[in-house]
Amino acid sequence: MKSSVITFPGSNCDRDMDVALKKFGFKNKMVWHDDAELPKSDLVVLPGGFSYGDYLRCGSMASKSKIMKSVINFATSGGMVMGICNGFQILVETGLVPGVLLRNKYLEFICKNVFVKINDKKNTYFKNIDSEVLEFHIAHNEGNYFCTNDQLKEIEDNEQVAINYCDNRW
Amino acid sequence: MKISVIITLKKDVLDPQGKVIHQTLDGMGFNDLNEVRQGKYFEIDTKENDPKKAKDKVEEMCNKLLANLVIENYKIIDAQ
Repeated sequence: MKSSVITFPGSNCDRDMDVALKKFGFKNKMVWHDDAELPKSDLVVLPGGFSYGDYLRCGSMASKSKIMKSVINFATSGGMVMGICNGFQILVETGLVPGVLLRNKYLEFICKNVFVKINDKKNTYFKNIDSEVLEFHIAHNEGNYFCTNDQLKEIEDNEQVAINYCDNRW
Repeated sequence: MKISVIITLKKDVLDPQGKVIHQTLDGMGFNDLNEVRQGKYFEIDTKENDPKKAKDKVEEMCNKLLANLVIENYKIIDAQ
């Protein structure tokens, strides 16, 4: 399997992603945001960080960068794209994922472990995972997901919520 | 030609920063406020001299980048 990790000005953990993907057997390439062409990939990863210093709205500048046109084409033709942290904020700003991420409710930077329950056992990312509940680490300042009621209904009707936050392991 | 844009959060969108500013103002003695909402203000200086064309271009900028229409409204203030 081939993967590409995109680096934007202000990305971080992009090299960690490269190490992790290689550990799981991916042939990974690092791609610069100003490149136009995406290498042939099975998976494209947008890493976290603070692309363009979170100017205007987090992810908004990066969503307009040159490489994102190729990433959008790749995604709309069925390619797998994973956005972590700021990478997810970028995906939201491209419109590939509906909604937007607001500042956290109490203006806190949230950095902790959370539990999530897998809703969709057929989902490509989760189908080979045996456990029902996973423990994830989160670290964000703008992680308060917001969308219109119509968008929420559409997401739920299409069964696109693969995982939900849950209280604990049990 | 200069055009200004004001971007505000939609009514139903939570504005934690506005809320904290409200609380702080309240603590400073400005205690007759109902609500404070924080927004953004842009000044755009364009080479376009036709006010109608300039305004249309700025509207396009708002739709494509300056505002996120899921949570924000924009108001273009006429060319000066």
